[in-house]
Amino acid sequence: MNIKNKKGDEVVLETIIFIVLNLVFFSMMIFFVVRAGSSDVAIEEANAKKIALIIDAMEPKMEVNVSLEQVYNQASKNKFTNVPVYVNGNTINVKVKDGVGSGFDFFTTLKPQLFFDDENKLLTIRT
Amino acid sequence: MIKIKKLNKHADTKLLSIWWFAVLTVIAGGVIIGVTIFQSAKVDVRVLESDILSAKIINCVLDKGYFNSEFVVGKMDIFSVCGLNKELLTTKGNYYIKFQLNDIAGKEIFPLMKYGNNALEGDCLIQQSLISARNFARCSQESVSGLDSNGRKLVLSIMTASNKDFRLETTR
Repeated sequence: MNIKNKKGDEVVLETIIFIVLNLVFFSMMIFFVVRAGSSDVAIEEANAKKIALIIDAMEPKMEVNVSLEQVYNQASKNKFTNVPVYVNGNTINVKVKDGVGSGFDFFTTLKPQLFFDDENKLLTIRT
Repeated sequence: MIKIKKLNKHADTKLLSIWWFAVLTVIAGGVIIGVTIFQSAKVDVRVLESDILSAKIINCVLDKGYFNSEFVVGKMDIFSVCGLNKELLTTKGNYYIKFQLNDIAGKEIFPLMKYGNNALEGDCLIQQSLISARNFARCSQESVSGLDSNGRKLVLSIMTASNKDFRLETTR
């Protein structure tokens, strides 16, 4: 009777360990994929290119509002409090963390001015 | 007999768990490789860039259906008039602009104008022949009609190419 119980316990324990290990494995995989999908570099690069193309397509005395929700959210995740987007010469730079950031050149000679609405996570570009 | 059966069952379980972990390893490997490929892919905006460049030039030289009179005589500096950064577009090797103005009969109004990296034109021709080459420039080709100041119908053919890639910022 005792032996039977012991074996039953072993089987249950083995099954639980097996299930727990599987859950740990798949949780780690999901965590890895979610983290990789929202990588800092991808967000910086995509937004730098998007803003540079908008500036290229702008005409003089134009105003365009761009949502920077993704940039602000990622910067806040990284506890980065500096201005996330700035113009350096004819390059748009986007940073969501301390480091080099990402830049993309615009070919227009217009001098864009950037205004930030931190509350609504909006960037206003004026030429 | 019962003893043997029990022993086999135990071995089966062990064998199954080994296979199971092999399967997990393959899944993990696949996910890691997939994510790495996804991460290494860049946001390709070269087509959009060349489209914007040609649209800017067309909007600049053509106003309400009439070509700019200086442009028609070939004396217009498209970079200064259209607000394009000449240095960036002509010296860095990432862009190419080619345009030609003909009358309706195909007669040249002024000689073919070319700026930037001539080698990118070859990329455009190769892309046209339906060969997809990842690192080749992406191009935009357009043809628009308009009138000159005398009411003569002219056709502007323009080709722009961009091979501008993403870079990491090194300053500031």
